[in-house]
Amino acid sequence: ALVVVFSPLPRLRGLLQRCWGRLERGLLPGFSGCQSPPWGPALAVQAPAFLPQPVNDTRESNEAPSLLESILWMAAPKKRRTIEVNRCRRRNPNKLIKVKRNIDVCPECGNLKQKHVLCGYCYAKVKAETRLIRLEIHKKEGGPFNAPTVETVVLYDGEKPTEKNEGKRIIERARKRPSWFVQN
Amino acid sequence: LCCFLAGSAWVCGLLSWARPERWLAPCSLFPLSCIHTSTSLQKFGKWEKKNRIVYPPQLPGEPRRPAEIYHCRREIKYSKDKMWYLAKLIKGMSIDQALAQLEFNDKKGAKVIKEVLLEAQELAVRNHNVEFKSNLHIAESMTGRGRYVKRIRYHGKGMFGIMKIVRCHYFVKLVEGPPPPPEPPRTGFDQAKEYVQQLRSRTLVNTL
Repeated sequence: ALVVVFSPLPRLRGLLQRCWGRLERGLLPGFSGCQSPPWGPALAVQAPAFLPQPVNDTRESNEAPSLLESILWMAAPKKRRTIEVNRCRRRNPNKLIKVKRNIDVCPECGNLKQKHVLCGYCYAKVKAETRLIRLEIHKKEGGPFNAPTVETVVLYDGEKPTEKNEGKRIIERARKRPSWFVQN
Repeated sequence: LCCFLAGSAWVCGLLSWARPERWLAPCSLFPLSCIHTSTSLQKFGKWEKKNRIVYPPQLPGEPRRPAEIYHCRREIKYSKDKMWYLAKLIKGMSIDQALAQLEFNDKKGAKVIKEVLLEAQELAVRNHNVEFKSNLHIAESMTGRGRYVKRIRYHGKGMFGIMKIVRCHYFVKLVEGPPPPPEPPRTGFDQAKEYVQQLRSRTLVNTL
């Protein structure tokens, strides 16, 4: 609301307050009372609808804005995002899944594999066999902390330890040697 | 055992009481327990019924109609929006390429869609007279919203929120034949040509 602020001349201030008092009580405006019109050249400012209280009630120095006031400065959406805008964002090419061009066929088993990654099927095969070998080792050792200080050699059906494998620990596996486990 | 049949209406069918699995089921005391509800025996949606259409035999001169296989999976525990990205990825690809892409995708829906595609391929070869299982391409792949369930999610300080347990359906249509070539993107020249064509095809009304 636009309010005309009086230039607070010292002598008129008391008069001002009395005039306003009368206005607020609903009596005649101060025109008839005072000699000079109270409406001097003044500054028009945007102010709240009620007149600011006179300076006598001392306001404390600006305390920290409480949570209730800081809510007014929080970011909030002004309007609902329409479905068209939402679709533009969700279907933007950078959000769509890219087509992978690094998929090949594994020469060993024929399954698909990524170029820089081991073939999943072959790895699973090797993992299963390794697990069985580890079970054999566990049976031989009998408990924790019994690992010998010599190397280990895995021998399959029908294989004899050669003179190369003299001092090494032998683990027997009761199956044919798999093609991918090369013996040296 | 027949006590719970006493209150039931004859509308449910005379044979419904004679079904042996009904008798072996734990006896409930509700009198209307043997009414045939919609959830029994898997209600068929529109997509499942599309496999049942039978065309009249083709005439000798007509080009061969490619086989179409409709398959879907219902109530997958995944979000339809997240599933949509995968469906968009494999739209228009050949089935081998689609399976390759899905195998190396890390999303949860990729595994589900892969199973659906393999099932559909099986169905195609077995029931729909498709000769080569690689000779299929994906004509349509869509997602739909499943049944949502609301649950309470407990927050701190006694606050709560209502969360939705979200499910989706996935639909796929496989068509026999190599995938169609991707259409070239519309250039400005094409758009201009179309505009000029539009202007030329206008007719003048109320004139000579």
